Amino acid sequence: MSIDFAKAWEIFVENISLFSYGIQITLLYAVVGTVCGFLIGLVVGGIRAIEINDYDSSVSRLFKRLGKWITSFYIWVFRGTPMMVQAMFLYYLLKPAFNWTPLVAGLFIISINTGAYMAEIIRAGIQSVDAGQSEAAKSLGMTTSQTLISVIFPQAIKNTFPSIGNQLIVNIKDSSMLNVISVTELYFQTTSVAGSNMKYIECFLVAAIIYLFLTTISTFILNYIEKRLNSEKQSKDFCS
Amino acid sequence: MDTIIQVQHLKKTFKQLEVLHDINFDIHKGEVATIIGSSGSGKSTLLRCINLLERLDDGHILYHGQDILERHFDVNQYRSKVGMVFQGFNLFNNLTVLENCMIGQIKVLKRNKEEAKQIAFKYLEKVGMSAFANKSSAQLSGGQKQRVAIARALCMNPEVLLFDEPTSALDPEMVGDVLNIMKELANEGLTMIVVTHEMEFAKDVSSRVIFMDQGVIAEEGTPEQIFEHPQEARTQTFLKRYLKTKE
Ligand SMILES: Nc1ncnc2c1ncn2[C@@H]1O[C@H](COP(=O)(O)OP(=O)(O)OP(=O)(O)O)[C@@H](O)[C@H]1O
Ligand SMILES: [Mg+2]
Repeated sequence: MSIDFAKAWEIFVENISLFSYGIQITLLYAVVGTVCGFLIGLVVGGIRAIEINDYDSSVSRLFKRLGKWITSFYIWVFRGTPMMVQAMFLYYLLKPAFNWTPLVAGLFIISINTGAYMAEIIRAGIQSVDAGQSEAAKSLGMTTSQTLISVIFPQAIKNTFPSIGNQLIVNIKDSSMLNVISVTELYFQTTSVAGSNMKYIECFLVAAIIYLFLTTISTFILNYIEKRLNSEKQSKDFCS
Repeated sequence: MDTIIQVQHLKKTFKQLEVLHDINFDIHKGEVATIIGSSGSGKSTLLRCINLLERLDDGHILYHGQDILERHFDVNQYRSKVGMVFQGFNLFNNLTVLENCMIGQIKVLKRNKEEAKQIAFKYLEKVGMSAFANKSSAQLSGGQKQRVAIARALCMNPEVLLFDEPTSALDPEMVGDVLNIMKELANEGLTMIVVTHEMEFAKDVSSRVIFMDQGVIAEEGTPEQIFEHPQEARTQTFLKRYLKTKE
């Protein structure tokens, strides 16, 4: 067992364009997956947090139940199966219908996968907001959606920001699974390089260092945002 | 007299527990009704029913003669006219003091920002909190929070303001400030329903005192009637116990 560091550096420099393309795709997937997953999570988590009251009309109770059933099924499936399997299954299943490229399919899959995790984070965030907050909003005459958007979501997001941000780190790493549908992210690119020079150890040392670099930078950025959120004197759009 | 709210045969049950039985009373314009009674007698639940934060199981609440439980009744419009001040303040944690006072005006009353800001400052001034306009609620003491909460409710130009033990969560030295503001509002003719354990306040300020016991209105009348000549044995016991604990 030996690692040739000089060789690793040489491989990196020689294949810089392949690696840098891989890095770009990996970052694209991490960012798009996290942002879209977050938006999916807001909707799904919001539905999950709706309370069913015994005074609701039977129609609204039916819709709430249906919403909850569909969202819990979605979360159950996407958190309970590997993303690699989801990728293979959905890519080929929907290829005839959408005629999509691996790039687009991959973005869809990582978003919908992240959404399932985000939904549970956001549901917990919504439930962590004191009931008095929405009662105060109601007592002013605000509608449910105004209350959610202006009062509940901002607090739920702030309370769960570390978990939300963590999904970005997870996605930087887990986007590598999408190599199974030939998305040319960093792992896939590394495999190509290694396949041509047969220096597996050195190639994957390069990949590991790049991944570590990306996750470290992201952690710093997330910590910075978190600090800002906690000290911020928010001035909302409606007041400035 | 102009009747604003009529509560008729109101009944409220939590699971098996019947918390309010057959409550009846009217609130007239300019009136200050205080609700007193021991813990668990259903005072908060009654206020919450009036604001529709709780659903009634039976009975009616009329607002200017209109049943607020009617299918087509505009609940949000009603709530903007019937404000509420909570024991726990419930200022919006994600907003500044000023924003707390503006959000309802903008979202519900559809006032523009400039107007809303002006009105917010007017009422923050009134409660002595305008200097704190850009602070977040976490930076305020309990008494300050409650004053902002009162300003937030006033910004909606409510017809009636409901107070649920607004001073119970405050340090003793803060209680006076909040009660003085409420007295001032009463003197200006604002219609108020106040649940309170502050008997002095109830005596001085209210036009009517409602004594609740175990989910019913046991006795009601003018402050003199209730505090000087209570008719019911339950009222007498409650007041006696209250005076004792106070000494
Ligand atoms: N959400 C709820 N679920 C179940 N029971 C409740 C609920 N809210 C109140 N109760 C019960 O209803 C009864 C009346 O409560 P309420 O809070 O109205 O009393 P209160 O007169 O305001 O008392 P306090 O002076 O302590 O505030 C109590 O027995 C209480 O336990
Ligand atoms: Mg109470």
